[in-house]
Amino acid sequence: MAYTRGLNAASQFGDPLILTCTVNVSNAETNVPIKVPWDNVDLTYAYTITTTVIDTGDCALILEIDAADGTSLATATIANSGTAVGTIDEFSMTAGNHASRMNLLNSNIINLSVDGSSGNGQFVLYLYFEPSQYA
Amino acid sequence: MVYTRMGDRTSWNNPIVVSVYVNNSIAETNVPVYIPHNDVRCVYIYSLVTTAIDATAAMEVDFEYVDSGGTTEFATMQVAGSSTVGTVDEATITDALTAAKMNQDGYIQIEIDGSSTGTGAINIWFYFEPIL
Repeated sequence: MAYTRGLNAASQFGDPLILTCTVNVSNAETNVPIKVPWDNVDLTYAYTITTTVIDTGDCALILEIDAADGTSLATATIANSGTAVGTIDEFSMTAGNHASRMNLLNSNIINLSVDGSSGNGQFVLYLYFEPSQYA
Repeated sequence: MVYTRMGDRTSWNNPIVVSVYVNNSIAETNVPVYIPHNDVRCVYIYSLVTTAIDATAAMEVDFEYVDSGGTTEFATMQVAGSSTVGTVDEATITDALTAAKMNQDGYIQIEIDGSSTGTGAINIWFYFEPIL
């Protein structure tokens, strides 16, 4: 899924707001909560870029609303050692849930669930936000 | 310190956010981060552990503003030893006057002074608002 401005053509920002986070892979499910710093935004796109090669198993990623095992926003998989540094993997958005109108004032977070591989590897996560279609 | 928006909401809707990934360090290590805008104040800083901090000591993090006027510490934070992945820590603003006016001709210096093995890593997010 390539990013195309999706939900609001007449954006109050004009362009997406972007959050980044560098994440190390883990051999057990690990939760990384990222605060949403803006009001009335929807997550419309997310991708990763590998910065250290992933080792012996795929790295499964889920973006969830507010808490570990919260409602799924999007999922992605970074393949194991075949994935070289510089590889981009895009998230598949969970239908409907990305338009969730997250808010700073509600202390909403995006929880990144990281599971696998055997523990080596690193990537940078990019989250694109747009003004909520419900704002 | 919980972030609550300052200023006039009608002319400013959302903070400018800058993020940086920093490794823990045995000895004092300085990481400069450019401020991408003029006439902003740093209103909130928090960190997220992405590699567990080792058990030997806390990861001390100080934030300094550097410009032609010198170097001034304006915020501090401590990530406890043994902190697990996903741990959130918020910085305390210690010099509100310095935090209240920053420019592109200055930069923020992150001073890391870690545990005795230096294992661990964090992401740091800075929230800026314009000076109104």
